[in-house]
Amino acid sequence: MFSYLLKFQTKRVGRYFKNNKAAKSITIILFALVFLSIAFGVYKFFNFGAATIDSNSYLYFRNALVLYVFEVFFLLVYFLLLISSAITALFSLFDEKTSTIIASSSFQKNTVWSLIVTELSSLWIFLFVLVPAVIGVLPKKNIFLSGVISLLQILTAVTAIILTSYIMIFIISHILHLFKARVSKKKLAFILVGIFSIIFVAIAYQIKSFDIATVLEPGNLALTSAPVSQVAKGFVYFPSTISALGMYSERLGSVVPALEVLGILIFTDAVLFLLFKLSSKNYLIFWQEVSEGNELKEPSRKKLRLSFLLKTKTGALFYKEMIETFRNQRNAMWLFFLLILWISNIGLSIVLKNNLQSGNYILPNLPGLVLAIQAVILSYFIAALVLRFAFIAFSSEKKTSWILGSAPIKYSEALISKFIFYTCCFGLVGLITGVINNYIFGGISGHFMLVLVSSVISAIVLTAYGMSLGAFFPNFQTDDPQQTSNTLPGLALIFGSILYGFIEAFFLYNFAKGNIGIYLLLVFFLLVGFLAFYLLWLSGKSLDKRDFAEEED
Amino acid sequence: MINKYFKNMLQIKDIKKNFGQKQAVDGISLHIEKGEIFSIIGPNGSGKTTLVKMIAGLLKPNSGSILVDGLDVTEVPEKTKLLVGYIPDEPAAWSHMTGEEFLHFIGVLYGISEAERLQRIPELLNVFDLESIASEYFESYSRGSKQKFSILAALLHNPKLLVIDEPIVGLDPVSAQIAKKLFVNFAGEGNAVLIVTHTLSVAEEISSRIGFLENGKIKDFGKIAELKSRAGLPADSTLEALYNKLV
Repeated sequence: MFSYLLKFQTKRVGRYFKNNKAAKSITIILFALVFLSIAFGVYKFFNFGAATIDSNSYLYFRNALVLYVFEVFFLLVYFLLLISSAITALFSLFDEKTSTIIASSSFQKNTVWSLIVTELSSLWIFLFVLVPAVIGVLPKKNIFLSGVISLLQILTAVTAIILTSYIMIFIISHILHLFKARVSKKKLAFILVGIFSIIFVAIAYQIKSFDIATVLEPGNLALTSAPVSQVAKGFVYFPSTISALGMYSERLGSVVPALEVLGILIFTDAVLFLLFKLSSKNYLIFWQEVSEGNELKEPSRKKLRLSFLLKTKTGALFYKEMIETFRNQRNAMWLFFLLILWISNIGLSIVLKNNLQSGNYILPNLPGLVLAIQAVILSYFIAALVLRFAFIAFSSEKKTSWILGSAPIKYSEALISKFIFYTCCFGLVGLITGVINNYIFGGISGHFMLVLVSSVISAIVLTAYGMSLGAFFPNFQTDDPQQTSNTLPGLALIFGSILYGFIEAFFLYNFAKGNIGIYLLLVFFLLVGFLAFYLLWLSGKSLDKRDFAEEED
Repeated sequence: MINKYFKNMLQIKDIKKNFGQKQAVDGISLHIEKGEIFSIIGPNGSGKTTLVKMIAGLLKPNSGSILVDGLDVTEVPEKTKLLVGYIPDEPAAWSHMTGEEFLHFIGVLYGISEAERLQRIPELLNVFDLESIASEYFESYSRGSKQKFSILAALLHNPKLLVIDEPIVGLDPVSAQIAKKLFVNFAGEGNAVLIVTHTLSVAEEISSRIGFLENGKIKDFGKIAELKSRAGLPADSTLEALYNKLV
């Protein structure tokens, strides 16, 4: 079965290169160059940071600080990966489209295939960003060996997380089955949300209660080195500490402990895979229960509401977007995931503010820095929302394209309606984030209106950018965000958004420092606004020209 | 209003459509008069769906012209789409929209006022007895129910030409009878129907004329009796026999 599925994927690549070979090859080479430059940029950024810490020999607490950064970094990244892979696993394991594989005698292989797909789609973006970052902080001595070990560590850790997400789903299914409760996607999603919420509270509590300033004891002049073990002890209950300690060992040039960590991770993967195989034994029963549940459940009924929207074409399209976004179970899970990201951002902002206030730090660059950091974080957050919802707005219309295609409207009108809908949603998110950030940092940044305006403009620009890319390159193969983010346009969206965030941060920082005036800032916002709308207009024209049906009978 | 200066509701002249190297439709010309039901039959991959999608405005022809009641589909697409009701072979709609919401949505796209929609939608739902499931999500409907909603959606704006890709797939015998009656009555009011199908019995039962499509070209078309005569078949032979002879 695997050879058949692999052959199918290989043929898909072949089909992609069937037409316009030269243009497609050039596009891929260009993207490869862009990714390599980004990987190089990430490497240089982290390398510079590490070199700066190393060059300040008077920083007696630098080792403890580095471990702390590793601990927090891996804890958050792994937690987010666990949630996203659980969502993908849940919907890929119980997808109705898998019925052909389930009907075959090798149905159990679907679990392994689903695992492989989730692993591959999660992994390579990590390799692209994580590996250069990790290599950047490693010492130059034995860099090749350290690089290989760190690469293997990331591979094995990511595998362990993905296996965990599958095991969680199977164990919950077993428990439901044990208590004679029918397994359903809704119940699984509900329980997973509960578990993730508890983990999230535990992580938030840990980060809040672990006072790094107390551990480092900056006031104790007698100290020559901060106690690293205390930092490690603070995170001992989180499995991510294994990766953090592994990276820490490699940074110190200690290959043996790093290899020990790698050994532990490989052993963990083996145990988890065994657990995965054992827990997936009743997969067919669970799949049948989910499937039967779909048949048995009382159909959802909705009375016609918001009929005031159903008066104009734009209103009707807006209405359609609204119900498709908010009535969808899978979207609700992704919204939960993004909500956790958002709350994490707010929580970290509060921690940062408290630290700044308790330390009475007087830094001339602080207002600018706070503005810049907020701009980058907000751009990333809005980009995540755009990628999940707005970017796939046309890709998800493949089967329903006949409705809009045969109606007396232009696709560009549908694009505008979608744009208005998503801009309203994300603009609101931007506005609320701006208000919250102002509430937290109000006294520090001191630019209330500017934060609000830049938040809303970011939402508009990134939505226009994401929708344009999605309209130029609709992907009719999938609307799974984890898969779409790995397509070339998806990656262009991610990197373009990050780039926008950094450019905006640059302008805000220099404005706060007094290096540039308000007019230049206005010119920047007007220019990006114009570019975004121009791109949207171009993509609308491209949509009106293209066929929205494929070759058929 | 039906344009009384044009006798033909649909006039197709030498249209071609290719997908890369493959010529899906290769120079088709035909016309359908007002009051007529025209069926096109042909094997898989003969270009039936591609032809229908070009008339419905979903695909753009590489060359040739398609006139609906005198209006060119490629030159004034928004105006011609107001005259056409399209029923696809796969009646998919947004899964979390109810059937009632779907019909209202379609009505708004075609510029039907709220008052008219509130009067017409219950009438249409009654045709297939769909009132009891109209407030359920589309994802919960059977294939047949989806097909019924797509038929109603196509009729909602009072089109002049119905373009149907497989009219009764998934419908139970009673619903299939209702659907066929609907199409016959629709044509009887001075409108026209174009059907592409594999179900020969439907084509034989309700069509005024039939066309045979193969490799993107019309092999022959006309009234069933004329076609049988041209093919050298007895008058009482079946459409299946004619199909086997021609395709």
